[in-house]
Amino acid sequence: MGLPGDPLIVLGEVRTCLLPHSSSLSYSALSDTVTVEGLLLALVPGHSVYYKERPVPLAISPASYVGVDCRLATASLTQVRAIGTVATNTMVVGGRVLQGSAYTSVVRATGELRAHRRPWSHYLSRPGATEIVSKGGNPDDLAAGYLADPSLDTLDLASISHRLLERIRADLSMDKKPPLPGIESTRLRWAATIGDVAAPHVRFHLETPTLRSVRLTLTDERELAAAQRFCEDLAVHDWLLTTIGTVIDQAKRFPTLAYDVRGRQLLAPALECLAHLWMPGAHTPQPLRSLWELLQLDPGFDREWMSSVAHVRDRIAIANVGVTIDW
Amino acid sequence: MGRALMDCSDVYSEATQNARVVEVPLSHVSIEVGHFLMTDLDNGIDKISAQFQRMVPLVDAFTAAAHAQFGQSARVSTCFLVDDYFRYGTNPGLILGKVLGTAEECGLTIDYLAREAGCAQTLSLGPDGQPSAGINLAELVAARLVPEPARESTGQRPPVHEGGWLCNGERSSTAAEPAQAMRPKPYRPPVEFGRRDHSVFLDIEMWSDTNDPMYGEKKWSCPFLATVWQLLRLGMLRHRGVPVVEQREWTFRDEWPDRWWDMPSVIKLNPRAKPFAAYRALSILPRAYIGVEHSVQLILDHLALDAEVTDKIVERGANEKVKVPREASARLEYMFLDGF
Repeated sequence: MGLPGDPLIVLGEVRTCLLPHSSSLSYSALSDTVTVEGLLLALVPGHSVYYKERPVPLAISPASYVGVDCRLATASLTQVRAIGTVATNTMVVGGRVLQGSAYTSVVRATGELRAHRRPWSHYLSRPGATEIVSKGGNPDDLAAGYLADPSLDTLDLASISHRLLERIRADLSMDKKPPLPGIESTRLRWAATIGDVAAPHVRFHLETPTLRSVRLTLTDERELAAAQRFCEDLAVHDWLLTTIGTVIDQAKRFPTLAYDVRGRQLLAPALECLAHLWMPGAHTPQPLRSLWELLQLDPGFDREWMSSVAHVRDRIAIANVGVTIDW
Repeated sequence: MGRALMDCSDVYSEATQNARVVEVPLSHVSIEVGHFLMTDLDNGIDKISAQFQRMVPLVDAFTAAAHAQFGQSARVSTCFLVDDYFRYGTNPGLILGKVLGTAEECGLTIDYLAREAGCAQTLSLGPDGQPSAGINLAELVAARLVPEPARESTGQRPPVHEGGWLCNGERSSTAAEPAQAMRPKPYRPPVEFGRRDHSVFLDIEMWSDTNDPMYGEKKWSCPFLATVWQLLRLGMLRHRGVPVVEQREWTFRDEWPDRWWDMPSVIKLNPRAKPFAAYRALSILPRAYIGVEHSVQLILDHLALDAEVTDKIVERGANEKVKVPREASARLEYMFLDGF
């Protein structure tokens, strides 16, 4: 770290939601009118989708870019101006979960014109990077400013990732009848820097019922390049936990669940659509897989998930027994 | 931030994980030898002959310059673009007989012949030679446009997209806001984003909407198709990692189809020609095309092109001791001719 052109910090936001379609989408099938590949290529035609079938199908769209020229949030309220592009990708996990990811690698502008806006081709030849053209730009200051609620006149990755998801969700080829009604999307805001640590470290914080923040402190460039994928993987699993919690809460509204078909109508699709998607770290690049070990200890992701799934299964089983007794 | 580190396990991998970018053969320099409106080609040969005669010593000089810069083994190819997009009703046999015949008489070697309509949409020729619609190249390039942000663009609002237009700054006040009759605001002139002291504001129409079935939904403008053309010459375009045009050799010099769209986008006329695409693309054009080419530069500067394709070309250049700039527009050179 410290060389001109090296990233000072990577800032990102991932939004995760349920695909608005009744059935699980296959990646590419001649017979289906809507496929994951078709959805993702509608945004960037002519490119290839990254696709991995195992252990859980994951498709990532080619990147597209949004130009920005604005202040970056800082905890110290120092005025830091950056110019460049934000990269965006959309992802579909397991044919069910949709993600919109926006991120930018913040570097310090170099050369004689480092205090000026350069011709636009300069920024497009290094897509996904923003250059600081002012003074200031301490990585810890930027991370703290961005992860606390950034003010409206600073870099707004939330709006960019929101628009991205909305564009896909509006795709007319999907029937807009998701199997689980009333499921909210979640946001995961993240900042990654290289710091004085012996091993990569993650700090995961629930800000609101639908907003999370993640602060990564990493040891080298290789880990920094993997940060985005780790955060996207983390966001899927956090969303799964949030969603199954929501479904359990919704089912609790029916007090005599054991005899109530409505409760089962909520719980059964959750089990069917989501249970098999739980695979923490499966799509995290190797350099950052150790971060999952930290999260398994505290808060204990697997533990929470297994307990929730067992809870749902028990309630369905009890409901089925109830029905049998009713007969 | 690349996707390179997405998953780099040496234990397990899948073919669809990382689509490979196929490289195209490259010359050092590609020279575009003149250009005509279709109406010029449809008339007598005087204009064609005059331009081609001036071209011959220029091509020799630029070839010698390439050898001086890159060594005696430097690869140089020539190409010529036919404007069949806006005048598609003309007869290929008549036009090409005239153009290629005149070039031969003047001693001008045209290695490759390309069609402007082929820059909008490629043609796919089956193994039996039957043509079918191929890749919508213009759409593919348009999807890579990234408008330049105004100051204080945080990403909160979507970029301003004036359907089919691209500019290098902020439009004037009357252009952007509806007239407010009650309280007229003073006129604010347009401003170029990258200006030094004063602005050179350029606003380009990239396409217009049309109902003409010959064009589909969009009728692409000359500057936009010229942008696609330059990108083809720079070897920058891929469709799912695969080059978008193959330079088909045309062995039957006198047998041309009746319709332009039955021909491939790029045809190799000279079997011994060096590769069509090149590190550097030089265009020798009539002065009238300054505006079009200025627009080409601006459109190119607003495209997020495939970084992997750029990486590979820069790397190959370095292996041959050719310094290739990452910006596509910086790989274009021009000479404008008076009198045509």
